[in-house]
Amino acid sequence: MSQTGQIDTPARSVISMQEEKEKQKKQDMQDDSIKSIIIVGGGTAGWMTAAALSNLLTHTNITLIESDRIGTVGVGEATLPHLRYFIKRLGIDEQEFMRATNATYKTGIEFVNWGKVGDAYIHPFGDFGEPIKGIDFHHYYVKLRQNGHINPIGDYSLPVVASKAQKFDYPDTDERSILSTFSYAFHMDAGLFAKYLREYSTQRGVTRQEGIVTQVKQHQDSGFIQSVTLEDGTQLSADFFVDCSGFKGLLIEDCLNTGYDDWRHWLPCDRAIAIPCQANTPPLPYTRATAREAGWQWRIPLQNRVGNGHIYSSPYMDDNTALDILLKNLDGEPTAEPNFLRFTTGKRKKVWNKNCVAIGLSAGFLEPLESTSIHLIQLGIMKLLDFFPNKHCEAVRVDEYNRMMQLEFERLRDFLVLHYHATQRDDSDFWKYVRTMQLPQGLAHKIDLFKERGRVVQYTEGLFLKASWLAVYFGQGIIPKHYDWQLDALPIEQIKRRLDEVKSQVSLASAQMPMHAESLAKHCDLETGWQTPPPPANLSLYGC
Amino acid sequence: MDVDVHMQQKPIEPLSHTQPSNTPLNTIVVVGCGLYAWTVAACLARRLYKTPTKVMVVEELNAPVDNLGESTLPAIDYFHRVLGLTERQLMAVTKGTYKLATEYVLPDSTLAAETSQSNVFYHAMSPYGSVIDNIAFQHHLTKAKRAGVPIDLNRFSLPAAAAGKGKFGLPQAGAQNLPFSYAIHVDAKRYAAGMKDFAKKLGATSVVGEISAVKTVNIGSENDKQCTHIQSICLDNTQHISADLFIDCTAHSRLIDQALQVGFVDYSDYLPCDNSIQYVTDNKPKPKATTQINPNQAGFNLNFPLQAQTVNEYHYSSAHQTQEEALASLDLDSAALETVIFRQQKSQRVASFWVGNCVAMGDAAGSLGRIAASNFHLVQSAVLRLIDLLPDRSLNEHVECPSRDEYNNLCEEEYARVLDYHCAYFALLAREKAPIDSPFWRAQTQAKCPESLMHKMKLFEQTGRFPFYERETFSEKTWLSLFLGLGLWPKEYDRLLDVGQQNLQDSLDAFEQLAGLIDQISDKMPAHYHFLQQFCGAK
Repeated sequence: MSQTGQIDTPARSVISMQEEKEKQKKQDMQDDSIKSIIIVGGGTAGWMTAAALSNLLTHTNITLIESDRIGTVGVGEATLPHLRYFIKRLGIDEQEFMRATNATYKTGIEFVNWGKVGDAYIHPFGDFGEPIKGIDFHHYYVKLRQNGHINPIGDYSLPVVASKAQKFDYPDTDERSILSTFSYAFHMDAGLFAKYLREYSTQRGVTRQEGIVTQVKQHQDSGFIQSVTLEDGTQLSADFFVDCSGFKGLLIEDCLNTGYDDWRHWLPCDRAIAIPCQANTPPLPYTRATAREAGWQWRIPLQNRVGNGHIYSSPYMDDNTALDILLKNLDGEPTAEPNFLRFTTGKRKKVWNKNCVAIGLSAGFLEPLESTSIHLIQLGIMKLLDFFPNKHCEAVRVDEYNRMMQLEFERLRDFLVLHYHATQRDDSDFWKYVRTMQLPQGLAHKIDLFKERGRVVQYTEGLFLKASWLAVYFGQGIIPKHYDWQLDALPIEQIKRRLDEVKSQVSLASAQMPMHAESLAKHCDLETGWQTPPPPANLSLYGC
Repeated sequence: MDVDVHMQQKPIEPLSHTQPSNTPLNTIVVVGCGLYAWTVAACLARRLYKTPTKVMVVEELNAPVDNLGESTLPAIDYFHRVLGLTERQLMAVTKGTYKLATEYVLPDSTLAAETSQSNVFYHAMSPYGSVIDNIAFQHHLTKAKRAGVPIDLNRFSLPAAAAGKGKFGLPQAGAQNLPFSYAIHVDAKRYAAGMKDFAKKLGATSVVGEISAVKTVNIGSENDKQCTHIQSICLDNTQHISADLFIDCTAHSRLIDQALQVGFVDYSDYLPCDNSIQYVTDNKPKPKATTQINPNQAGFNLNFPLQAQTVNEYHYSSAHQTQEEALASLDLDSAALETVIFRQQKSQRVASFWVGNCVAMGDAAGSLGRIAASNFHLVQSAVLRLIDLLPDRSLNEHVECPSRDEYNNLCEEEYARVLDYHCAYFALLAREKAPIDSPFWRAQTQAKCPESLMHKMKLFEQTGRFPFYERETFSEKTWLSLFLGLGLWPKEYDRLLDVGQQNLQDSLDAFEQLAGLIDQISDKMPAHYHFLQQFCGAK
């Protein structure tokens, strides 16, 4: 055929000419290309950024400035399944990572006392049932409830049932198997993770500069950041800067005056106290978030200890009361002094401004209720690599990056706000406030639509999708008035039979899984770990 | 004609407030006739089969003529499966043909040289190329392009290559997992008749008449149009038909605009073709499995084959040509002239897709034109969405309705994305200069396009990436091949391509290997018309 036959492979000589031309063009391109990057701040954000950039931008000079005198915020940290993808992309062996960070597995978060005191549910890394005849599973569940068969929706989710039984195994890669219906993440020591990535990054050419930034210099015309000066007078310049300096935002705010949107009226917690304690039981494969009088307490099991923290709202509770509550609710003896933290929930107006991107707490802070901090770091890095600029940082590129990060922050925020708002609690002023506060635009509609029709407002890009919204809605007592009308064509007995089947499949599958502690020991052991390699990683919260 | 319980001689009582809330709708009435209306009715009847909700169609007498045929998108396969219809049967009944690609004819020589050796771009709805060394195909292509290698995109897609050869086959196991998708072309009258038959078998009823009046009632504050509901429609001054929910599928927005005065959002600045002349001609020998789009004096020609004949549409701007001039410019023979129909359709959409208890679908909801084959797709999407969000009977009691808000949000986002896609054709074709030297096309070089499309094009040109927009009908891969095929190439490719060991020759070798494979496989496919004869009852 003429159309497909017309272009023969160009002859070699043509190619070499073309390669010359290409080299020339590449050089033209490189004149604008970024040759040096300075990351200000170590910690989880700084070293994750350094690791990813050094892995992919092999021709770029990367310097990370940090000081041993400044503490980092990262404590015992709960993560999301996406982190597996990140470490995989860095070429890091997952089991080695677990050994290095004292990690345990995590298949969900247990929320205690949220909908009302005495309630508990698990938000799992997995879906609830599967659509039947094109209609979402939860409509069948609602119809069953309306006919008097009330049991938690978690009974239809393998990660929920298995978590409760303290079971864990790698998910199956065969999509047809019920054992494929979840994914998993880790609880880890964030300090050890940063240390591990520091090693990784310096091996790949990242220069670690000890010091504290005291001065930031901008280009006169463009306002782009030109250089930073350290305490000892050392001046370091670069084409591009990443601000990982934490809450204060040394570059993005102190220098560039980008501005910050305060979201405390929606997320009123602004203090935290963190403290590790001894572990007296085998580690649970899930995080626990227990609602308290003016906030909530986290419990994150590591291999060797338990990370704890109490996060609260200062207008409603003082530091001493908060500390008392925390200390009264520990599994074992504290193993360190309490660490007091202050923050303002919200987001930097632009996370990318001129030639500076803020990653980590400098970009914004949503509270750790759904373990989103490291995810937002990871997303910031991955999108930066996707949209990696030249020296000019053209507006269209920066705008798109900012637009996407804004969207992600807002969507996460709304999901977090739902946890506070969907409650019957009125036992303290804090809960009275969040129960009745004015919601962000769009969230009220989301809740109404679910109440009315059992529909979850859906989006494609975003971390928490339908299954997560369902977990919190049902878990915190928001039950739809009605199921999908199409189910009126099905007799209730048939629906009950079908759902009972799912339930027994789930409990059978869970029964066959090994204990979490057992899997952990096996996978983290140098001798036995390699015999069972982890399944492929992907960017989904809910399994394959 | 069956006498339906919902047909009454006098209007029913005002909407009762004593009805229990949370009870299913009694009746949904679809108003309109032709392909869109019957498709909506069939889908409702199918999905609400055996539920208490009844579906009724009011077939409007003296409605404007329907399109002659429909060119569809691959998603129609999903729609047919939802309905439980098999494709082969449908093809036989509707005298349909297959569609592997949209065939863009690019008359201007400079543009053709930019994109490919030929002046035809076959735009398939599945990805072009394959990932080479973990880096997406587009980056390899862009690198080669920047180095001055001529690129013919058509060679890197199995459906595009097959379309060019007049072939059609279903994806075979031996096809090495090459991406493959297709849609169909159908005869509008036959398809409508098929859907009518299907809907009636599932219990949908119908009544024919001329709408003489629409009776409305305001359930909220006096001046709020959003609170106006339709109580009943009157046919031929005698029959009153009431329902809980009305779907307006009329050609002239009889309910949503004429009765409820919702108004329109006008897109004529972006999409200036507001008239069309449609006619049929005999098929060329061995019709290709494509919808062809060709710029013409005051607009564009679009044509696609059915089993026995070709449907031709000339879409033009009445600001640039009168109907007489347009018809004369086509220079039709007498046989073709006999089949001519005229349609007027401004580019616009209703300001609200669902107001009170009335939802507009199809032409009643507006039209973005025919380039993207999206009108019918938007109907399918709308009816499935409505079923998803179907309200209960309290719809007519409360002013608030979250389902309605959600429905409107989703439709608005969807239309905005599809609008971009339509505008992209004009924006890309007239990006540097007019593809044909005519006042219409010269005007397109200066024409406005939506902000969201501008951002998309700019970002792509600068970075080779796409912005993220929610609710895209056309996937990123489809946008990508559209941009490249119509001549918009990015300035940058993935820098990882220069970091690794790969040199240009490796990429070119991979291109040739892939193109060779596609060439081989497409060669072995049967000719499109053979396939139709063998499997779809074509003569």
